[in-house]
Amino acid sequence: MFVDGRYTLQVKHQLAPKLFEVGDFIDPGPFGWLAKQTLKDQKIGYDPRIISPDSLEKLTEAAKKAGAVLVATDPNPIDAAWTDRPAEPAVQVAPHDIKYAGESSSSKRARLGKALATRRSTPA
Amino acid sequence: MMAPAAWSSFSRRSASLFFAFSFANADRFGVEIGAERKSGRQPSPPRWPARLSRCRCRARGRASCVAARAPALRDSRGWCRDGQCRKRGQPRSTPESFLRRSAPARGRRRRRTDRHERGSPARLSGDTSPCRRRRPRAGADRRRKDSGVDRGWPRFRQLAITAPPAAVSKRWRTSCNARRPPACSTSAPASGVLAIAAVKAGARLRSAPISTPNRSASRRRMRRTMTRAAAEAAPCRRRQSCDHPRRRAYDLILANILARPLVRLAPDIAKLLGTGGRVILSGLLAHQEPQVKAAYAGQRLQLVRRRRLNGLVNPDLCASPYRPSDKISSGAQPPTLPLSLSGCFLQVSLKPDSTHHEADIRSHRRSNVGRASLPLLRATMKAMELDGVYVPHDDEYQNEYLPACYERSHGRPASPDPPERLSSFRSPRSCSSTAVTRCR
Repeated sequence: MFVDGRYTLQVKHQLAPKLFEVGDFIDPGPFGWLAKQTLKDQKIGYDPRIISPDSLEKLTEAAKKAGAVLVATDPNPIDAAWTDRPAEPAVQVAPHDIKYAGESSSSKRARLGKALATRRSTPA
Repeated sequence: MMAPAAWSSFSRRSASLFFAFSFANADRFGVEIGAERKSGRQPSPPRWPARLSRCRCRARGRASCVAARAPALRDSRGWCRDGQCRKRGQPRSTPESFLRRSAPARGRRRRRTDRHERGSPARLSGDTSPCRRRRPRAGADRRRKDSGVDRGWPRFRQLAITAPPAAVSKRWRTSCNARRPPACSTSAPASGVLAIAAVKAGARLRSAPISTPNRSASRRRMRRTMTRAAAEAAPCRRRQSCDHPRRRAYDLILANILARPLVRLAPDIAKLLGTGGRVILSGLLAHQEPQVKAAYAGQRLQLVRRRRLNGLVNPDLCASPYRPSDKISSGAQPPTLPLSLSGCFLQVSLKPDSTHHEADIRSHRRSNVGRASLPLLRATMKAMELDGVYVPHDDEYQNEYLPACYERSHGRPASPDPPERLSSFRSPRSCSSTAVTRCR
């Protein structure tokens, strides 16, 4: 577990110490730590829905140095272990007035269609 | 003549206290008492205010007077006719004697006050000084200068200084219950600056003595200034009763503290505030404004105006004059009432409140997060033939702003086996830190 300076005390109190090792988020950080490991032909999974391109690039580089292979996972294995996950919000959707939303729904959809047409993509 | 417009809205419970104060300061305020002076006839001896509904002995805290609730049994000076009070051996109090007692002490103490006044670097407005409480000369303009009105500020007639942990802490409540005057215990320089500013804006300080634990020279100077400012405007003999929070709903609360304590103190500050009262919060950083505003919005306090200065915000919040039970029609803005009654100068300790934090940590100390979920995660990883899984850090920008390089729609995997469906968007599972889990 890599945490920044705000949680160094909290993580010691909240995590089982025999199960987790705690490292600094900046130095070495997750990518720096991974690059120094020897993980030849081991598979490291990641969820493509919750990772940014920048992080993915760094992760790929670090995994390459470690000799590991990245695998995009679907579903996320965290979901299986997340037994007490809160339910998804079931509140009724209410449209906001234009003075709060800033842009109307039709305008957004028109903008989206224009972008899709420009990129010649097909909607999912 | 300055009209006592606020008297009518004073609660009946504190009416006697307020009138005693107003009467004692009549010459200072420029208030004329009685109709005889207006008409230019020979001035008659001053009377107790007509709205003083109880016997003076009861108003001064003496209980069980037979005339306490019977106006017919009182004489023109507010005392009961049957002499119950005099039978008890109390000195007969008259308006003249009351004024005499309220006047500053003479002799040595008076001279010391004068010398102190001359040597003080921050001189407050002269008309509030006790040594200048002479009656104005005949023909002089009795209108009291009020510079705050010219600057668009509401007129603060009275202002009380109290201490903060004061306003909320058990210590303050205990001291109030014990009838000890509250004391301003910390951060006196900041309090002093605000107090001086309030006085310059036309506020009238009424306060208990101020004690500062720090013995540095600047603190001593500030304490001297503050004590003088408090003493000069506190002729009320029953000082601690006037400042008692249970007897007064304050109209103005100034708070020059950090944002987090302000958020925590919101319910307590709202309790101290009267209907239509105001809270002025100074020194907030611009990004802290929404959370403070939200905390006070839950306490029926709405933002009246804010002033931004170099990234700092001074929001001015106003209490709704409606009670919680009143229904406010949608779209209608609750009107704000003018400030004219009293104020509470609130200053809390800058010491971080570690109690809450420690309790928070203690509650999690034995939780051993991961002891149950980690075996499940490892079993899943084994089923998916994974040796490790990367759980990214939470959003840097707390989902409020995502630069283009962080846009997740581009996060399609570069690996040879991409997931088939990416169209159904689910909220990202967030984690407060980054973890790389290995299958052991």
